[in-house]
Amino acid sequence: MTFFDISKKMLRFGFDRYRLYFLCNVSAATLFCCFALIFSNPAFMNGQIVNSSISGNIFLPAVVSAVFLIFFLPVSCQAFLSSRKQEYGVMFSLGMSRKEGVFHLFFEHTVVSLSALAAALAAGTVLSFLFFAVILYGIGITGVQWQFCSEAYKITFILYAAVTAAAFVWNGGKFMRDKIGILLKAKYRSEKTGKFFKLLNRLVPGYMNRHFVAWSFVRRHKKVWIFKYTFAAVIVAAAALLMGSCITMYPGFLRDAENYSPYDMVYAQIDGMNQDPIQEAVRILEQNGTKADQVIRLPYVRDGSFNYISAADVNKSIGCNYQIQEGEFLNLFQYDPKDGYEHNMQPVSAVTISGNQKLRSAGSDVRILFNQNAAFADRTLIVNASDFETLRADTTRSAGCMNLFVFAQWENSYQGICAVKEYLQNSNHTDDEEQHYYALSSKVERYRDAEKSGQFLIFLMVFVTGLMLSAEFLLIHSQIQAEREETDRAVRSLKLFGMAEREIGKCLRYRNFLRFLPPLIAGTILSLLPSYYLNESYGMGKLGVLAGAVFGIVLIFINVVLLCRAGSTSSG
Amino acid sequence: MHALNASNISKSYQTSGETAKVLRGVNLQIARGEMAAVMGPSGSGKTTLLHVLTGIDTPDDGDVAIGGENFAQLSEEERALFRRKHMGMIFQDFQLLESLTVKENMLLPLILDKKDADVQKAALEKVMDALGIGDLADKGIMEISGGQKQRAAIGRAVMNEPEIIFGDEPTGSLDRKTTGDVMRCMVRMNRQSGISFLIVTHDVYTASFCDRVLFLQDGKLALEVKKEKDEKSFQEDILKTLYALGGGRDDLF
Repeated sequence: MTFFDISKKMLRFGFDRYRLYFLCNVSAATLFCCFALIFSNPAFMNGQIVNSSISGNIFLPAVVSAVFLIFFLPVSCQAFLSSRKQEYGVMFSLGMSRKEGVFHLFFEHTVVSLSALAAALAAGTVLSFLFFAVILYGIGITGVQWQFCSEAYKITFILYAAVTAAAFVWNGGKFMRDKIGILLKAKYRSEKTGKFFKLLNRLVPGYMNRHFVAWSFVRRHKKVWIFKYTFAAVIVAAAALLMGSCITMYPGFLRDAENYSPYDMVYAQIDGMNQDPIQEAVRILEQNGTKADQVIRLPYVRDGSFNYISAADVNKSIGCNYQIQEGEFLNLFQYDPKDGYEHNMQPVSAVTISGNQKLRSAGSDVRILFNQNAAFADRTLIVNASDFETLRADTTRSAGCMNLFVFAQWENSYQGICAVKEYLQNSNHTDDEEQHYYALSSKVERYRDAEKSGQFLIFLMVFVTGLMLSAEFLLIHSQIQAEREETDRAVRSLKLFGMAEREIGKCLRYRNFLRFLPPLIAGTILSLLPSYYLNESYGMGKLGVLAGAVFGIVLIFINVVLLCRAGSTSSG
Repeated sequence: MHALNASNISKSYQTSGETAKVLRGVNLQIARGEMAAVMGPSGSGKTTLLHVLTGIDTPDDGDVAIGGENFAQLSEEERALFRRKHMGMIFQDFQLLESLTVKENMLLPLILDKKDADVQKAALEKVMDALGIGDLADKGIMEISGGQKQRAAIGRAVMNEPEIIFGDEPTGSLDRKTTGDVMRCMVRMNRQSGISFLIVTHDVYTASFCDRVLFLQDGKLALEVKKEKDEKSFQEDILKTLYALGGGRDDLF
């Protein structure tokens, strides 16, 4: 018989411990690998394909998962090595040298860590693949698909290898410095009652007496539990924060779609494009069940930077009241200040319109006058009618007309919009790239995009919070499992001095409540303030807080139900 | 030559900023084939002495030689190898690995010493016969009684034929009848193989199986009693000495 045979027997006997450590490693690395594969995906992070307000949400969970990995693995490593203390204490007392001990531990640790890494990379790949499959086939967002990103695997490997190596050096070093006597007695070591428990005993002596046995389980391993409670609470807070953001961002997307589309259909007649008569577009719309109540034609001039529109035209057609003097202009910022985005609203002080003729700024206004369209420049200046004529006469700029449509019912206009779009494209006879530039834009399309983005966001949040809550559960559950042997020993003693099975079950259930619920409650409370500030930028601070609170309460309720239904006699 | 020769052993610990002198110049010799016990009240330094003698802990001062080889000043690595070859250990709570069978637990010192399968087999048969536990060889540790566990632990301790076996309260977890069985088993191993035994105990009955009992008080070996007649009268001598040293019954049983 060799030491290798002995090691194999130890592995078989302590398989639960190895499996638990393996699973802890796998889950932490899987979580990070999955997020890494998502945030390394070039298409997903491309603002042209996925709204950055959605893709940006991947960073918080990615950071949380990295922090989870950084803190969870060393704690798991510590728990795993602690469970081996007595075995190694015996070996050392029989003459195994510390060098041999380190070698065996290192070998075991390396085998478990590497196999866990392989499993985690595979599981992370599958999870991220499912993620992209759902957004591609389930939600129907095109242009985004799973891609092999070697960077993601590299980052996961480097982070995981660094953390596991550091965890082993730190915990293994402590383990090896422990005296043999301490190693031999490790599993029987008791802990002093902490200040918190002493305080509870003073404050609520009746309650503490009633639940004395349950609290005797909770009092153990204070340092590890304080860390686990804190980290679990942070995970729950991040999940509640994301869920709160999701609840506010979804209606925010829809609201933005409406706010940024004051007209139901818009296209430009400019540069010789979309020149067919308006009546033809109206006829096609009617053929497809959409009645145009009003069509506004707003002349405009554009160059590389600005749209120029005449104050007289705007006042007449859109019902504004701009008074712009000759030689002046008004900066118009077409943004909703409460849309949650940051906007560059730096006004222009002067522009040259012809030769040496300059216009000076007369101030600025923030107001959405018309929809966004590729044929319009990003920024708009409102000028005096005579200056507008000067601009229109300048052949270095393009002059054209915005056609702004108001429908009786925009919600049902999608078919008509598609028909007009197709008609204009056919009549323009240009290539696809050019077509995109002059294509019409509409409220219904933007609204549909917003709905799709919202669904995507909800899926992303459900996916992310699901993984984060799994991590939180694992954090608590793994420690309960690590203490299982100790708990079983305590349960045997309790039975010996006359505690009934039912009473022990009740105690363990109560112990589980004390293990699982505090981080949920603390995390929910912790999320409230950040949630308010984060969502207040959309003007939905209170809704964000409410959503986070409801999410936390639902989580607590689910946990209570699950804990009540869990086997009353199970020590786990 | 002595199996164990400890001279001028001192050891102190720092507790809450204060230095507690646990051993103050202990001198101790155990002859080859001798079976001795160390007794003393709680906190007298028995376990500390045992840890220093086995190399689990290092003394602040003094030397420990086993079979004439001084190992107190060796590095931890060297002490571990020394322990493997020259010492056996028996613990109050057995310290058998639950993952292994009785046979595998007993073979551990030889496995750590990378002995051949033939050597292992021969040694196991010899020890199993001597201890009368051949029928337990393939049983799990959780399947056997306390007395059987301690006999398996004795088997593990003698397996590599050490110079000396140290026992830390080896009967502390056993009832009187089982204590008698286990101690008789140790005596038999001592007489058959000539291995020396040094047992730390607070139990007079356990100590009475030894040839000599040394009394530790205030970190020093204060007195010793040798067995001259039968066990009964030896027990009386031990008790008298303990009372003379001021130990109450609470310290003894």
